Amino acid sequence: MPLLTDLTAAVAAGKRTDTVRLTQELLAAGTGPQAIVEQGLVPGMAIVGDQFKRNEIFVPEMLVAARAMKEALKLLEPMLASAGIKPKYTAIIGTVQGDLHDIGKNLISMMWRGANFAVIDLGTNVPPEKYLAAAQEHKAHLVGLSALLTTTMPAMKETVRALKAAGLPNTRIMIGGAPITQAFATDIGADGYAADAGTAVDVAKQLVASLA
Amino acid sequence: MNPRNHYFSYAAASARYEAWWQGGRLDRPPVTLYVENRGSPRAPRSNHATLRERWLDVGFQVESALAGLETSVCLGDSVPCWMPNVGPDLTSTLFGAELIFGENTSWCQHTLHSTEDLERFIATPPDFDNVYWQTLDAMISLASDRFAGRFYVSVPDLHGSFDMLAGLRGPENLCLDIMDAPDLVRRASLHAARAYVEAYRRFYQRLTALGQPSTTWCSYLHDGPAYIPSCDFWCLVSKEVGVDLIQPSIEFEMAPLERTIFHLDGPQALQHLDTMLALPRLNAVQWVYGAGHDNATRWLDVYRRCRQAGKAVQILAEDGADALRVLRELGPDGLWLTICTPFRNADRAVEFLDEVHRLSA
Repeated sequence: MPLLTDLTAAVAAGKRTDTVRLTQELLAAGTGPQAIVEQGLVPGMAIVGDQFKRNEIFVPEMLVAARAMKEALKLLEPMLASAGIKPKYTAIIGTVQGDLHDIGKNLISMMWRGANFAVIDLGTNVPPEKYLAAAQEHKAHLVGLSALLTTTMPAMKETVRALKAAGLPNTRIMIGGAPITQAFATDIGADGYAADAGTAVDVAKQLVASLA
Repeated sequence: MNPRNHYFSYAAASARYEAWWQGGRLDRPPVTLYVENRGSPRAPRSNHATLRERWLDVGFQVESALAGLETSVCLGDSVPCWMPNVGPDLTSTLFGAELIFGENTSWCQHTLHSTEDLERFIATPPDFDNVYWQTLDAMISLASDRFAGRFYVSVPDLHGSFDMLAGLRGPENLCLDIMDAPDLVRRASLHAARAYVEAYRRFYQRLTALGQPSTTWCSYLHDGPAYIPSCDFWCLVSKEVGVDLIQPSIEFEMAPLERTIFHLDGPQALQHLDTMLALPRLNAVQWVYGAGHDNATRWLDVYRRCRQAGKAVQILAEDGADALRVLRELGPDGLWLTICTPFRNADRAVEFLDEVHRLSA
């Protein structure tokens, strides 16, 4: 459908006025909210993620795309809620205890929302017990831990240990942040690692696909 | 081996740094290193009710610094100095931001909540009489007095224009402003840059009037205005935005300085390396590859690009072996070696300095 293709392009370009207008036109033409999300908005954010991975766009361009999608979702979410339609997967995200940096965490959160995950953002300076409580309460499929400071990497290790010790068979743990590497992720027992916000979507999809 | 042969000498270190600023060397590159220090029994204990009280306690901070300096072994070109510090968001406090203190760092509350606030910011003069600036001024006075010429006091850590704006506006909002209102951001960044230049000028004049050398947290020396400009926000934007919006503010910040070393932080900032190396007033680069990204030897190509552009480099080596590998590969000209892992004792540090001397002959 051309309108869905146009919507995808509008989101990818960060054009929020066009994104809202096209969403309204699609609704008026009888397209369901779930189809608009899955066939219009999500592919737009996927384009953004790929461009970000290839260094073709940077954080400002990614943020305007996420803002455009958010405007469209304001229209669609009440309809999705009343129809009982929820994203298939739920993710918890936060910056680990002792670390107050949030831009990396926020970018991942936006990209996961853009990939149609329900995302519960715990904010910054999150202690292990708060991650665990949220993962249990929301039956999270994914828990994302972010850290910018090398001094807070031990807090990441402690959080992974606490989550693993709780035995959550349907939850995968993913970590990222400037000082984080795959080697560190492997060392502390995280299930996945992503180097950037674009890759974070691919890794998240792989991790939830591995759930029973 | 006699460590006294390698004890810090202001005259010798200053001459080595000056040769380094100009891309050359004297007898060897400048070397900053540390020797393991068990701390001082004289170090005061904190009984502060809050972290804020501890950070802003002038007497406590100066006595803690003095206790640390008195037990430090200053070998090579490691300047025996202390930097009064409330965190680099100090520059954001010029425009009303309050600092929030953690154990090891501080940050500021965002105070510009809209583009209208950003317009108001441009019309606001900086306030150099707030509690943080008064505290730093008191620290400088007391430290100069207590150190009595045995140790030095340096210019504090200052965030430049875009990091200042990111502190005031929030990095995400600033990114959106760049897309929505680039001309407004340009005007705001130049207003911030003017405040940064004035902040540096005030500290430089205050400290030189007290007989202190020109140095800061990264411990160079120069007989005149010198500093380490930085822009962590730069890594979030494209080359085009970097050239269009950020480069002019960095050039403005560098203009009054006789010597500059740019703090380039993290692999994502490398996309701006060529832009930075083209800055005519830039003398040197401090490349911070960051934890988890191997060691200095891994980044020889970055150092070579800097040297080929005629800029000196500060090598942040993981340990002595890492530094010696870089020295062998690149040669001694235009290198300043900083060893991040402390040596176990003074003898090991002296062995290392002797080896650097030998390889530089």
